[in-house]
Amino acid sequence: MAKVIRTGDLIVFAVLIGLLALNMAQARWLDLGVVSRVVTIALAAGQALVLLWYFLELRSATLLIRLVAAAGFFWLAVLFGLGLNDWLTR
Amino acid sequence: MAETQLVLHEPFRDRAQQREADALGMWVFLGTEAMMFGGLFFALIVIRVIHPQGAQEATDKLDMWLGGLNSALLLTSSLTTTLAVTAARKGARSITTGCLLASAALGMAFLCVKGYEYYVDYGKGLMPGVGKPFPIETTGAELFINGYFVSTGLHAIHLFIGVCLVVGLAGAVWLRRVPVPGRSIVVEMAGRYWHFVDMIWIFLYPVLYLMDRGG
Repeated sequence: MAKVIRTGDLIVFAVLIGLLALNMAQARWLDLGVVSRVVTIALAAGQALVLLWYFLELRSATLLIRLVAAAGFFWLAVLFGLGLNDWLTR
Repeated sequence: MAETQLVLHEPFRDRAQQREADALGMWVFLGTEAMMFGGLFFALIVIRVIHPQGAQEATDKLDMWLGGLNSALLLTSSLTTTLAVTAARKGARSITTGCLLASAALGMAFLCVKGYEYYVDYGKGLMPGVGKPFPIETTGAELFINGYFVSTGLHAIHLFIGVCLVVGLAGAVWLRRVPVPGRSIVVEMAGRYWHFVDMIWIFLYPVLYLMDRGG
């Protein structure tokens, strides 16, 4: 078992749990007003990036794989960007 | 022995090329999943923007601690999945099987907590179409809760598929039908799916339970 558990994986796990705890704490006890939504999403995005980079192994992926993964998020950004600019600016 | 050799299939010229093709196929599939859930996330955000009061009152009805417990369960299952992938690459058959089963158990624990949460929601009258009448009058609250059931339900279906996949894979690795490290790529690709389902929850939890929480 010892040869399978790598310190890096445990650190990544601790960071993921830490960001979760931070997000729960700010939602429950901090009143951040207008930036609250941005902070909530930013902390979740931080978790997702750590997961993508380490556990989903984009860190060691080829350029082609990284491009394909990024393309998915690019189209999501188009959906949210073009979609929300209508509601947020009216 | 076959299980210590790295398996190379036609038409690939070497193992690296075969590996990249496997990963590429998986990422394209995960991209389609991101598109599907992306539409749901967009709908939830739009409900929050156009009905902030209703969405906030609905959020306060959801239990952020049960959701948080579920987040921790899934993040832990991602760790055990990563351990399974490392073990498979190193050819440690029994550790791979054990870690995969641990991931499946954590996934089942998530589904049990989710089921309990749905039961509590039913008691509060939040479930659409059944039980008590919806408890909040404010416009947008019921719409938001319906979005909560659709998105968490779809995620739960994905996780259940993941649990079945991982249990089947654990059995196949144990019985040497999927020999490791020769075909560790199968464990890697199942792991990618598992992590991705975890990532969807990473966003669902704050969007449904944490954003605009009134206290």
